[in-house]
Amino acid sequence: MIYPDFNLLKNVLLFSQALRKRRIGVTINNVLDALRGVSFIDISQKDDFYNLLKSNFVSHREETEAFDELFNYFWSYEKKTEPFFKKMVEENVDSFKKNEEVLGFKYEKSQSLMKDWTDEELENNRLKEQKNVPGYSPEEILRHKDFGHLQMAELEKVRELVSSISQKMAKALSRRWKRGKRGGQLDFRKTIRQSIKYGGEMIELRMKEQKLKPLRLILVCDVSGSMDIYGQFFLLFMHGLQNHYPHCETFVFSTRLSQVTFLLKSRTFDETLPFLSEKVLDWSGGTNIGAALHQLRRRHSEPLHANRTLLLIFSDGWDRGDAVLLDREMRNLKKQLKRLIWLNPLLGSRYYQPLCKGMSTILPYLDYFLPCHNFLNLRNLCNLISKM
Amino acid sequence: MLSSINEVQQAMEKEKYICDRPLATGLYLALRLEKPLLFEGEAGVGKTEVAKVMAKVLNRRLIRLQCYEGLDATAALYEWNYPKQLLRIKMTESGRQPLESIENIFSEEFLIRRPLLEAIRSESYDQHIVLLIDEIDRSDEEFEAFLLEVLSDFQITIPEIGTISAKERPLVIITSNRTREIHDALRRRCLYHWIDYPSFEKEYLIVTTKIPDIHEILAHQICSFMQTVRGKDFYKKPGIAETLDWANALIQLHKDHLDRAAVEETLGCILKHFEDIKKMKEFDLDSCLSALGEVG
Repeated sequence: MIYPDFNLLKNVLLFSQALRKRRIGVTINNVLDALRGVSFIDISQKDDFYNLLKSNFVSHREETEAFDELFNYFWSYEKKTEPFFKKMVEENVDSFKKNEEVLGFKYEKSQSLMKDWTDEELENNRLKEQKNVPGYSPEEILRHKDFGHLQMAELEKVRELVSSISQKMAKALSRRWKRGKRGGQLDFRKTIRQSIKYGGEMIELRMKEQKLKPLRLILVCDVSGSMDIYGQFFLLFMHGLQNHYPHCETFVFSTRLSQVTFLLKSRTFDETLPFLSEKVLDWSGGTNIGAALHQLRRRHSEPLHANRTLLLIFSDGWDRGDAVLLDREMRNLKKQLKRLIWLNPLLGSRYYQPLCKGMSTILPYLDYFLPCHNFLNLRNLCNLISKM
Repeated sequence: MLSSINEVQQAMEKEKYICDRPLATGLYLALRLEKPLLFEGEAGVGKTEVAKVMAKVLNRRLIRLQCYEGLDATAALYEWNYPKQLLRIKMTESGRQPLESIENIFSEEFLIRRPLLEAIRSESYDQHIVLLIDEIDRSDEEFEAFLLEVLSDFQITIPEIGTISAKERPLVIITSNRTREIHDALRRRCLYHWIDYPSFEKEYLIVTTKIPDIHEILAHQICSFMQTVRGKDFYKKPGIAETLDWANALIQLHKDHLDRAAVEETLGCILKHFEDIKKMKEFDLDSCLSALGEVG
């Protein structure tokens, strides 16, 4: 096998590091395989080289965009490594800034770094990037969400509580479903094994029984403007659940539905927030519950078909979409799912009545309509689910 | 053995599979690096077909494992042939067999190979394998974890026999329709390729390659119609498989061009949901037809 020359090796390593910074989880094996692959292709063909790195480093369709962008930046012929290092530092500055916003305290270091590195060119680029946020429809308010006002200490408290609740719930569920016994089947393998010592006479019968599976959870969170105050609270819950309970898919919506399972998984909550507000472009936009549920049913139909799926929707039901569509979607979901639970933070208020059009359309189809504005509610909810 | 990306591409095209360069690169690398290849994409874009065609191109045997929820080791890996074992015991009892043979009822003779074991074991028959693990998203997490073990070093341990490992690694092609997220651990062990809906040019090429005697105008119309349909909001968008079905159906009905009547009669070939067909007939048919520029 021909070993690639040192420069290329170093570059591929740097590139993989840059990818990791962009949260594309490249493993060392991926890098080794890519380097092995280099000897099989003609690397003077940029497209082939691109395909080689892409097939090794990208493992989600969603990663393609970030990969392409970085690839074009990194492997451009104009300036070799210089701009890359600059970019790395720039990214560091960005992430410092983001941490600052999330955690609510300042890094002295980031300040000095920023002074050093934020020259005019970078500033201009950043402005350009901000302008380039793609638009989808005029109704949607496209802006990056500022998570600044959750204080560090609060976050910590919330996180502890949620992770303990979700752990408890995950355990309660799995224990419950494993204990169940549904008849049994003859286990031929073990029985025959057993029979050998009796000369082939089957005296001891060995049985096997089917293992039951825990419920599957689908969490859908409304992140439209009217839900701003509660959204983060439920996101914490979703994050905790997603990371402690394996049979769980998470979505957020305002006018459009986005699957965030992949974004929430295996990241700390601090890491998740900036990433979420970056990816979910219609954060704090209008509300179209019907369309969001429609999308859920179309694009992610498989888990919905299982009649042991539990759908949790967290929304205030202030719907600006089509009521007929909403009615139809709710009816269909009701048919497919085991349980439909609606969590409404407004239900906590004594004077609240589900009179708005959206909520009154939804109400007949629900199994449970619950308040969800503090941790007591959340705990009650967990108890309820673990008993199902 | 295919020795360059071009060769892969040409060989695939010879077998009537239109294969773009990224796909060919993926396949070539999968062969060279001996890594599994994970294909994702919508239904009917030709993910499974890649494996079938590759088996033909490489002149290898295709072993297919169709995934479903609850798929377990006895269905995917191996199972003991219990009736045979019992018979052997009975025969020994009646003295027609030497007593020692009862010791051996857990030998390979009594093993029923399921697809995964077959793919690893078949080197003893001097046969190379293309292993197709189809629709992995339909299986459950347990199976995925199990598969991870098998795919990482291509060996299987059977307690009664020992560890069996592949002499020559098979070409493994895994497909997923993305109805469920595949775990990262499995993804990271595979080369990844997303197969998108074909562009107009590619689709036209596919139709004319697969159905050589199709009328040029009809092929053109079918492809541009399909491109328009995919731009609309349907429950299930038609894939390339539907295009080919439809083209064949139209030929059987002796149509040489598309018009409203022809499309309405054969709508069932491209849309497979009642709601979609209804929506198409009521709202979208006109715009799709006018996009052809030749409304019947």
